[in-house]
Amino acid sequence: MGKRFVTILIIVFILFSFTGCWSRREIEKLAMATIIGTDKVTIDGQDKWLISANMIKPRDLASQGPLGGNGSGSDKPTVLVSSIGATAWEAGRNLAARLPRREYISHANIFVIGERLARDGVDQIIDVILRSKDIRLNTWVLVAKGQALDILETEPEFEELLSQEVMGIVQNQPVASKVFTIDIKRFANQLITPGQDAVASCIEIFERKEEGQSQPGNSSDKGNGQKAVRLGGTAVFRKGKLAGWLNDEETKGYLYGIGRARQGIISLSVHELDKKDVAFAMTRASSRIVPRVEGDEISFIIDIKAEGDLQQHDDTRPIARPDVIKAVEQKAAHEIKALVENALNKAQNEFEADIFGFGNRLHKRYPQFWKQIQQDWREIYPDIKVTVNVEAKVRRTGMITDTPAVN
Amino acid sequence: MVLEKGKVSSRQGVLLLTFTVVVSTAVLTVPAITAAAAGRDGWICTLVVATVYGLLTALVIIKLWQRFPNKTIIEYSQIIAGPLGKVVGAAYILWFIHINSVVVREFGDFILTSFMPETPLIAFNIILLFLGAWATKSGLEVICRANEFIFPLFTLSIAGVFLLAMQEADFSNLLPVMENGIKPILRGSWAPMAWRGEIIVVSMLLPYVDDSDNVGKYLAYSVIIIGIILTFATVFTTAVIGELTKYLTFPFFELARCITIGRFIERVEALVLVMWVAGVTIKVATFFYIASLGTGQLLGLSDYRPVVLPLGLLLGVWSLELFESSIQSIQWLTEVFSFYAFVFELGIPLVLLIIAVLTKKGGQQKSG
Amino acid sequence: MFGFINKIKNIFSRQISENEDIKIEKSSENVLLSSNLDENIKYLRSVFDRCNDVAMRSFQINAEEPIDGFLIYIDGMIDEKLTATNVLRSLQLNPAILKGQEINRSNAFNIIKDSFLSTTEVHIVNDMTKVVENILSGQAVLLIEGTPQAIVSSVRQMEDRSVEEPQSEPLVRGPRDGFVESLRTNTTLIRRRLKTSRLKMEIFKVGTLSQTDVAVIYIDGIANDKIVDEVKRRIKRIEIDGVLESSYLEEFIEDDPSSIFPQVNTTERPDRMCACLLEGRVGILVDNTPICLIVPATFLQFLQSPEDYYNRFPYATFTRILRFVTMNIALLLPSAYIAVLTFHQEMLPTPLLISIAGQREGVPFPAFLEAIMMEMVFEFLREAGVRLPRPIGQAVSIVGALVIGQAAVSAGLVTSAMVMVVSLTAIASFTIPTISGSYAVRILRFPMMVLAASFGLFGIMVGLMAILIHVCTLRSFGVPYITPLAPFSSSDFKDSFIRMPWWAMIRRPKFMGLQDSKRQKLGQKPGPSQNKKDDKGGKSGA
Repeated sequence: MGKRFVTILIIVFILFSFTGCWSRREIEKLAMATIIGTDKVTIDGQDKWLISANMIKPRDLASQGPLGGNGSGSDKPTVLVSSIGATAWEAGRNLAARLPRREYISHANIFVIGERLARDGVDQIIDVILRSKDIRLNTWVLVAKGQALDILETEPEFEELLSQEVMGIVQNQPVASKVFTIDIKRFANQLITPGQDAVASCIEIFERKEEGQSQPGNSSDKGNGQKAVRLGGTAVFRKGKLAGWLNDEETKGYLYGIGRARQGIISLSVHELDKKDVAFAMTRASSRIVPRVEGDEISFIIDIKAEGDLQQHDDTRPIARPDVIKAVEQKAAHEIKALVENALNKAQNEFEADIFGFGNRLHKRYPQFWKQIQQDWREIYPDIKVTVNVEAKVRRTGMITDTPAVN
Repeated sequence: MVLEKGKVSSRQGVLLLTFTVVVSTAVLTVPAITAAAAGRDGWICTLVVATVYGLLTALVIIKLWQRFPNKTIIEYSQIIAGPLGKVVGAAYILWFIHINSVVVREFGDFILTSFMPETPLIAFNIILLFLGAWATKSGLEVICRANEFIFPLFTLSIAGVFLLAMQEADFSNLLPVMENGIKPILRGSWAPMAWRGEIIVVSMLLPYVDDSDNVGKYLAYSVIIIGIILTFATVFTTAVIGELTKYLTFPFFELARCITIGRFIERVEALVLVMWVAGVTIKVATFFYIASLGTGQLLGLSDYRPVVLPLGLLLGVWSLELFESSIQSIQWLTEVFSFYAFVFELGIPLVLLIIAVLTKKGGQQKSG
Repeated sequence: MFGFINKIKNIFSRQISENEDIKIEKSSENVLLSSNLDENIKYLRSVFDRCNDVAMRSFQINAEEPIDGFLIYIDGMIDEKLTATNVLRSLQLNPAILKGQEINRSNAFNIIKDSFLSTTEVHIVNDMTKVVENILSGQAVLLIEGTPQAIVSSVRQMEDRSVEEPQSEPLVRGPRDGFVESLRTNTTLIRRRLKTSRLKMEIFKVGTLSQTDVAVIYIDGIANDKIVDEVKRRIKRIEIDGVLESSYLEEFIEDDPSSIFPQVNTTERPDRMCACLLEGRVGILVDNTPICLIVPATFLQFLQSPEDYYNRFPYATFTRILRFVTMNIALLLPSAYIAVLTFHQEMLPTPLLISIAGQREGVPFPAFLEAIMMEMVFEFLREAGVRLPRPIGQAVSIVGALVIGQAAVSAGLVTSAMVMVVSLTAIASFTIPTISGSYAVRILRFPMMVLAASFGLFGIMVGLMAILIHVCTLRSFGVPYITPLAPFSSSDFKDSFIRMPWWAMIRRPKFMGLQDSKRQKLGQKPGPSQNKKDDKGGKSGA
């Protein structure tokens, strides 16, 4: 008993002496990054990493209540910090020169890759991310048009923090199916899977402009040059290097092609040729990419099934009739097919990037055949024949049937 | 001489204990090793090849035990092989200690890599060994009871990871099956085989099991259940993480990190770590115990407890000095451990059994 | 005489060795009563020298030739009225009612015993130590000239509390009676519930000075004989000067005395005691305390309340699981808070992290110190509240609410999150239905906090594993402490975290190795009547 007591005492004593060292980090001594940007810059002829991050000032945020109260305008709740180094981590640690707190990136759930870095090749940054114990595989990857630093400089409009704003936008994407959002896990897998090229969502800055000026992505917010971020389009990589961008419509086609489209509107011309008079609101869609090998001939069939409701009808002609609905379905199928083929065309011919993962499907279906052609896949890819079959169904017509006629 | 007076049921000692002993570390490391060798076919290694091997090992252990029902492998090796048996016994004890120090080291490295990089390794090793030594001193019954208590929590946490990761899973990642033929699968099977073979620990425990009728059945169950769990682990890591699996050091841990429930419960991997601590404690305690018991039996002591402290010190030093870096330890686990384990798990027992059959040593019990 | 004094001497000089003591007991038995009354009186007077509360009365029995009698008792421990009417008066006044019998010195003793004394319980002793013992335990002792024997007449009546609702284990549904200080009342409360001759109560005297009655209670044929014998053996072994409360006994009969976990269950409720007896456990009742002991104890018992058996079983199951959760909260919440805040910040959802970080910015202490401080303050308050008289106790709670409340937060000493944690912990610890169980949790909370501050969740888990290993080593009278969880038993599991309905709990707990493990008949699950006529009747009625 006495011996045991002494042992326990010694243990407790040792434990006490352990406290206060090693991996302990007090929560208020952390500089929490919420969004991280990585860029490559050339300084004095040398390529360097530029790491930037939005760090939270918790007191400013917390004092306004739990993130709700709109900023009293006294101060920005975040600080943008950035530094340069020969490696990404050196750059990160160089922040210490100006941070009174230890940088902490576990809560950064958005990773922005600058355009220049993306063009140089994302493999380097993927290594940095995967090796770190603090960055999770479900962190979102966004590729900036321009510098990531500029994106991080943008003020959020709705939310308190830019990261929340971007997170919100990312999560809101399925309703439009115009942006391909991807996390690091999938992104890295796309990069390393043979017969597959990577894509990532693109983040860009748009300025609120005077009325009438053209703006990216059909947005028409008015204002005097305030900057905001938007997600639009897709960055296409070829062999891990940024090859180019798909715009919103092409992205939509791409999403249909790979079966990642969830909801979204497709405008159709049903009654007349040049007037889009029906909005087909998709509720679910699926796609299947089937490889075919006949002899040495490789072809693919993309089977797309889309289902949706009639959301808008801009004509007084009757529509709630099976034959008209059938026509709508055909138009919708045709429209989707055009979208997919457009994206396909761009991927095959402009970027020569296998973003649909045709090679991967071929590999899974015909592993032996794939082995023979794996080396030459990039040469073969642009010329393979892809057939797109679309089947669209209109299930419901909303709260009314025919459009009420106006006298 | 009976060094252990406690008795455990075969469910406690055979089914549950072997499960924890094997799974606690295997689930952490095996998916990475099999993925590195066999790619997405890792599950075939764990499901088929290793299970067959495990059942074979179980058969040999049971046959030997039936000849010497009240003896541990340390004791009957001396009966079978005479003076050479002492050497075999000593080798086994060294092997137990060695494996244990590898386990301790492995786990320390894991925590260091994924949670507390600034903490010295020795802190984790000492703590783990302290718990192990305490459990060892408390005896077999306590180890079994503690294991029985954490078993449901341990299994639930593993199953929980599977269930929660399900929504992220893309099972087409498993295709194509057996792309490069059988060879990489066999190569990838070494590691799961070596782990499954760790059921050899029961050869030290079987004399203390009080319902001997169920031993064979439970040992087989254990091998199969371990097979299923490890298969799930490999299948899910491949399905969720995909091609990336083979690059990761701890794929199952990465799987836990992927979990999100409703965007609020995220980053739960620390809780999973917590359950692993429990499992590894049991594993370390079991190996510690059998090493102490074996030493006691080999030296003819009346109690095994006095050797716990010296063995603990040996374990502590060994676990620290074993490898210079985590790279080395992974390389050792991948390339050396399997063959090394094979000798002790199946090789020596098989030889012992053959000699025993040929020389007709040991009571021929009814076949089970 | 000498034996008695020797004994006292021995105790004071602390030279007790087992053998010596047994010798003393034997030698003291040798002082027999003398047939000379005066000698006996002299002896007793010397024994009770300076004992102011011992009443002695000499009287004469009204006979041809008056016979001297002597009555001795302790004032206040007997029923004076009863003694006066039933003992003294019958002796002094009514020998005349005896017909055809002459009272003389030789037969007086027997006649008095058989015919005169109208108290219910009478027995005879012939050795002085017994006489003294009986006097001390509140009997009236009657000595008659010429007979070397003494009549012990049971007229015991002590000042006693009436049976009240137990303070420490109140229930919403269930009987309202609780044990009191008197052993006899307590055994009655049990006997009233278990009207069987198989209910055995064996009395032992423990305490060389206190001579406290200790009753070992069990149901013959249900309780495991080995456990009963072990209980008796351990109680007999005790050498102590006085037993003032059952905890004295508890500490002597525990299996692992240095453990933080209680290995003996206590209760104030006769219903709970009876339920345990029916399970095959052994009860130990100690005179002068309402707290009774139940062995063997298992860990889960400390999370169970008798009310679990009186409420409907789904709800009982729910509350039991709830209690297990709250026990874990009471044990782990502060340490988990420390661990998450200093090691695993990534586990918090971002908004929560920001909010806590914002609060923490003004606080000068590290999270660990903050938590330890607040937990200590809470323990201060609890201790202060328990010991103080009620009116002052309220003042304490008001001050306490300020200290661990808004005032502390606005002073910037602690965060409101910490206040939340401490209050939650406190509430959770109050849900543990047994006090001894909650003590263990209260104490263990602090080492867990230290571990959490050193190693985060890893440290917590190490602490839990250490607790688990310790708990697994514990046995209470041979029964593993954490049964039925480990070793697992599916039939015992029916009454653990869950409570199955009574008709499903066919067997008594298996882990006790019972002789008669069947509790009830199989297949008593109630249901609507199978009789069709009845059914129809029911329908038409409705």
